[in-house]
Amino acid sequence: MDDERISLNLQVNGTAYHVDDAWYFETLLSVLRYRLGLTGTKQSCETGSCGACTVLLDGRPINSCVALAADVQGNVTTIEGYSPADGSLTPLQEALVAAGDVQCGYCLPGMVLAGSAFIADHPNATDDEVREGMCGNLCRCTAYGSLITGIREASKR
Amino acid sequence: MTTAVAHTPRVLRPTTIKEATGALAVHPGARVVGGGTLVVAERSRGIDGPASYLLLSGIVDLSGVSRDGGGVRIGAQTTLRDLLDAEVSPLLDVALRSLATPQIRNRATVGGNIADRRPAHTLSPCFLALDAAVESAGAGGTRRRSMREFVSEGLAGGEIVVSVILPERSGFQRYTRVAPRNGPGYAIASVAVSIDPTARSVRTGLGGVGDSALAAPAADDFLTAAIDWDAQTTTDAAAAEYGRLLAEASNPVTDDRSTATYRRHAVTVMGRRLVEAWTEEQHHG
Repeated sequence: MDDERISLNLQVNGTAYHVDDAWYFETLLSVLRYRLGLTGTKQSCETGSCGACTVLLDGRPINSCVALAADVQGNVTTIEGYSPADGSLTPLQEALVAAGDVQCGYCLPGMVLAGSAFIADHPNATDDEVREGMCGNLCRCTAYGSLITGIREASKR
Repeated sequence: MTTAVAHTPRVLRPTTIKEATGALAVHPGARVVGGGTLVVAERSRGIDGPASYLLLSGIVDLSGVSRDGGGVRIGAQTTLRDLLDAEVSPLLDVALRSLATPQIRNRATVGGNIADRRPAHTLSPCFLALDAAVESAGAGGTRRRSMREFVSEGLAGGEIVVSVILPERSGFQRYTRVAPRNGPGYAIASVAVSIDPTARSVRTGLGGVGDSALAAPAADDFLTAAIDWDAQTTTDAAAAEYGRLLAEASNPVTDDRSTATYRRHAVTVMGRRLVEAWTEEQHHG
């Protein structure tokens, strides 16, 4: 039935997208990955617990898995839009690499986006501030020590 | 094909409170969405999703924190992040930092946290302790109730939360909880209290120990009488008795997170320690 589907207008990484056959209950995560092909945003817990699906909405990190796509207004930034187009790394990404915070990598797009918002608000962050500020991102490889080092170092730049 | 049943659009997007309550009167099955963090997560967990959503995000009148004299009005659509940033109360500051994650707080709303009175949710005990009022709207208009009334009655069918109003309140304000860890996750039990030396009043809110957040009027009255307000002090025995009265006000269940016995014990200890912390703050703080 036609009325089972809805149309969406989303602003993602500076590009306006129109989706005209979305399910009304579809999440932002689902639209990003399966309709727009932006698979850098990871699908994991789907209950807003793990942070793998973190994107920025007007600069603030949110869980795209518990955001209704129909209810998203504003500019969405995914890891594809955050990372420099020439393939280089941002200072935050360099700091995470230097700290050795890359194992399986599945949590990293969410970690990087949440971390970018965190360091913007917390210059020269303490370890405790990093622990609290990054509590919305789980790493099942448990690379938390190097995450704290990387985010802390990046907050100094 | 025609049908007698009103067709409910899959997504309702009211732009005014009147439109929202009007739509809910016609489409009572629509699920109200504040930020969506709870509603969408439940659908993902396999709990039946609703046939349609009513989004509150388009209603400008529901947003924002405003100060009115000494009081504060918090619109239902204010995100938990914006409430934290507004720094309206030391009690709320701690409670909000312990509430879920930055990602959730950027999306979840104040109205959504209190609307269906879930006992594990953080804000209702805090608003009880702050002696708040709740403004709600339905097809019949807008009404204002005390938080105490709201936690026992809840919303009527077709109603939405419009705002939470905090009166001016001074003095000690504290939130504490027992939870598996300091990080994200629901509390097993929580206690929020404010001890206002100007009004000479004690207000307590309990979380996780009943069907909804609970007030503890007998404990409040006891401590109010047991405090020497001129000297700003009370006795160890009064602190312990206040804790015991909090347990008496509780009606906890045993579930997958904890037992009724443990929850009762937890509020007893938290209550006593909160009064001790107040005493400490008056004389060494």
